[in-house]
Amino acid sequence: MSSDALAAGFVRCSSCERLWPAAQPEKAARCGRCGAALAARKPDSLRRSWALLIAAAICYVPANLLPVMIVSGPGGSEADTILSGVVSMFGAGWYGVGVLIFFASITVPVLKMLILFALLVSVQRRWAWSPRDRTRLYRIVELVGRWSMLDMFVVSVSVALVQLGAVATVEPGIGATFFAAVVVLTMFAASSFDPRLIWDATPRK
Amino acid sequence: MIACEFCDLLHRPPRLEAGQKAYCARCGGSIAKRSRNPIEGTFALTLAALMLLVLANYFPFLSFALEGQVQANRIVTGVIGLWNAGQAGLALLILFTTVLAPAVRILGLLYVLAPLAAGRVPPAVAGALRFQEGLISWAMLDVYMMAMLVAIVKLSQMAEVHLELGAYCFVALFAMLTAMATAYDREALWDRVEELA
Amino acid sequence: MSADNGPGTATGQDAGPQEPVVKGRRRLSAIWLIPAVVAVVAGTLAYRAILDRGPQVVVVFESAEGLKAGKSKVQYREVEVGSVDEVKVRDLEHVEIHVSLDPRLHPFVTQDMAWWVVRPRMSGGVISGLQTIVSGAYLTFEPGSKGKPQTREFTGLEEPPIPASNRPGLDLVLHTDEVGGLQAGSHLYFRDIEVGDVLHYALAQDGKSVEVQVIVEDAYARWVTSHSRFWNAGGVDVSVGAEGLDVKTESLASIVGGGIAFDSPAGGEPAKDGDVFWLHSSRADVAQSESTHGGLGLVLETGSLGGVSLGNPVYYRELPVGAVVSHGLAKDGRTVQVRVNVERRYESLVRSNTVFWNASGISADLGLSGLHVHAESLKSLRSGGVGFATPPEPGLPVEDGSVFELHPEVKQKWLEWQPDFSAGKPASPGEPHAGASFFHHEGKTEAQAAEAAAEPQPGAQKHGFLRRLFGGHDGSAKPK
Repeated sequence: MSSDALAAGFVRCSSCERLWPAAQPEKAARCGRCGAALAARKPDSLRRSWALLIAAAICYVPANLLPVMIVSGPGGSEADTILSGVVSMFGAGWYGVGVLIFFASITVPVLKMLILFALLVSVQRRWAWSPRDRTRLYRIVELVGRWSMLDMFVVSVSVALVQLGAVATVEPGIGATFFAAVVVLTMFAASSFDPRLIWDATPRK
Repeated sequence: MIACEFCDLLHRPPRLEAGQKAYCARCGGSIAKRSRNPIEGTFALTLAALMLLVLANYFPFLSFALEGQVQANRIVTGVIGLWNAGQAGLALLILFTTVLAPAVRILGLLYVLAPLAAGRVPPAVAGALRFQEGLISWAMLDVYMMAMLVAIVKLSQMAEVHLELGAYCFVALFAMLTAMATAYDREALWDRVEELA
Repeated sequence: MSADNGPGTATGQDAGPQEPVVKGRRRLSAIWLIPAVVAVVAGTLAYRAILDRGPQVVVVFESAEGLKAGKSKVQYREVEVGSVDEVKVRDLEHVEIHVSLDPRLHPFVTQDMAWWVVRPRMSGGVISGLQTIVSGAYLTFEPGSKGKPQTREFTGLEEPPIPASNRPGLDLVLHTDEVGGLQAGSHLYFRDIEVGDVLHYALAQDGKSVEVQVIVEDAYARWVTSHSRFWNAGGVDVSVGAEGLDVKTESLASIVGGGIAFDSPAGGEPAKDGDVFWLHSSRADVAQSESTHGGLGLVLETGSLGGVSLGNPVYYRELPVGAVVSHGLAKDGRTVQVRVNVERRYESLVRSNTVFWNASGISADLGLSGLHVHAESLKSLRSGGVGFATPPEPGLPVEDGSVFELHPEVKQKWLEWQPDFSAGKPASPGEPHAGASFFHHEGKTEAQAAEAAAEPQPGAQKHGFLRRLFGGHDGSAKPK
């Protein structure tokens, strides 16, 4: 007998974790305790995740090509993309900070998108990849994803601080909005994905 | 019985003591926890967090001095600056993740916890709890703090940068939110709701 | 595995007495310390933030050029004491600047507080406010007087005000015919040292002279006395004299910026705020209007000036023998003191029982002989003056600084006095004008002086000389 809830006929309420019998096929089933709509799996999980993931990937291109921060001083203004910002930090000798920004703004989003991509494909193609590992990866993606907002916050803080008129001013560039979009879209993509699908797709031996 | 949210495996309900956590036998995901003082404690922390939220946003958080000109600004100033520069979407997002999400979470919890602590069930408990739980991952104060550090490092080559009162309140707020997350025990809350209903 | 719902099953009941279920005690858990501490901290901060708030003020200007909300500051004497919170448009012509001030300014935010913006400006040839190009324009003010009613809305001045009353120093008013190169900011010199500035000048009320407001720094204020003479020292003074071309100038600064110099011959009282002096057009002019050693300075007290103004002549029998040097309020504030100077050669006309009157204007009376119109002369009719006469039995000669009453009008009998100066006692040894110097001439009376020189007896000389002088208007000498 399957030890999986669904196979055993139970549905887990996603907000209060109560188990209910899955007998009634009515769409309008509601949790008896908290009133949330009951669903065995996250609704439309694969389709939504794909859509959001692709949108994020599209935004990622301008996010890196367009400048995210513009610093103006008496000598003129300097526009930086994420990459050029990292490069200039290395140039100034700040390896620690440079690595951090590189990691948060480039490595993390890319890995996140790649992992989600892999997870989605693995479910649809029924790969034999260890479901436990995949579930672990999924948890990591969910937790770490928000950290890619780091550089955007740095821009915001810089804008907040450096408002000294002709002497020095910091403004955000358009790239920042695209980058924020990437982060938001990937966060939604991850939360739309139902990891239980991994286990559903892997036949238990 | 409990089903794992990651792999759907059924488990017998664990008997946990305060402070213990239970994990899925198959995939290792967290399935249950029991915290000390789930209602009163969380309530106290949430109140403290609310006050700190107000302080952290009202007082300037960093000051920047260059050529004799000093600017000490609040967190909101950055948001306004982004808005004025045309990056409205980014401005709203940052406002949401640093101010609104924590605020809604705090207020939502208070809305639930205060009556529960006093012995009553507030209307729409479920909705409120669901709502504020969803916002946990959207409150990115820890990321913001790291960003402050990075910005300080970057800007201190240009000028003198100092941490002001708002920054300390912000750190305290973050600590409070983390403590709240630890003290938050959904099962205990629902148990109390059922007791009182 | 059973298919039942619900929470975990309880264990079966044991037989026998059971442990009572102990409910958690309702004690105040230590966790409440945290919000308590935070509440206290927050409360203190909020309390301080609100109480420490200084006055919030709105200043209305025509334009907010240079001022930025949240950035521009308010400075007073180079110290930052406030900042601009908001810049709002009130209507098509006006802008509101909302300002938060340091709480210490509270007592000064009264009706007479003056606000203006410091930005790069040029006025009167002086450029100011250049530092604001880098630092940004800022607001500054003159604090209001403490006692006055408080207000929170002000109309800002478009130009910085004349900083007259609040600068430390002695405020004086000088009257002159021509401004001649003077500007606001021109300096005052005493013995070639810069001791003060010109604050401001404007046409006098009656349009007859220009009023120049000056200030002498406190450290030098004591050098200004009631006897001080002021002259326009700006530019270059060129005169052709017996020695040839004479070029005088106070300093390079005064060539460019104009300047005023003064000296203070011995005697006289220290000047007070508000004292009025005549500003001569040049040093030569000073010398011309008074004899070299200053003549006899007298103080005339009267209820009101009544038309007497600076430079007015002092008449003896319709002949100018001196001039009004300055005027101001007496120490007790009740009378006006007019300081006059009688030229050296005429000093002995003034005796202890001399009467002075205000000769400005006309007095008329209708008498048996018809309408008599008294006026010292057409000159005084126009511009005022002081007349005096000495009784037939002249009293003692007076010393410098003597005080007389200035009668508001002449009395007929005074005009008829014919004093016999020979009956008077000779001049006291202290007075340096006995004898030879009496014949010291400055211009017009050369003929008379020459004639007087021909008569060797001092006492009789005086008498005869005077007789000759005052016998008639044409100045011809009449032998005794």
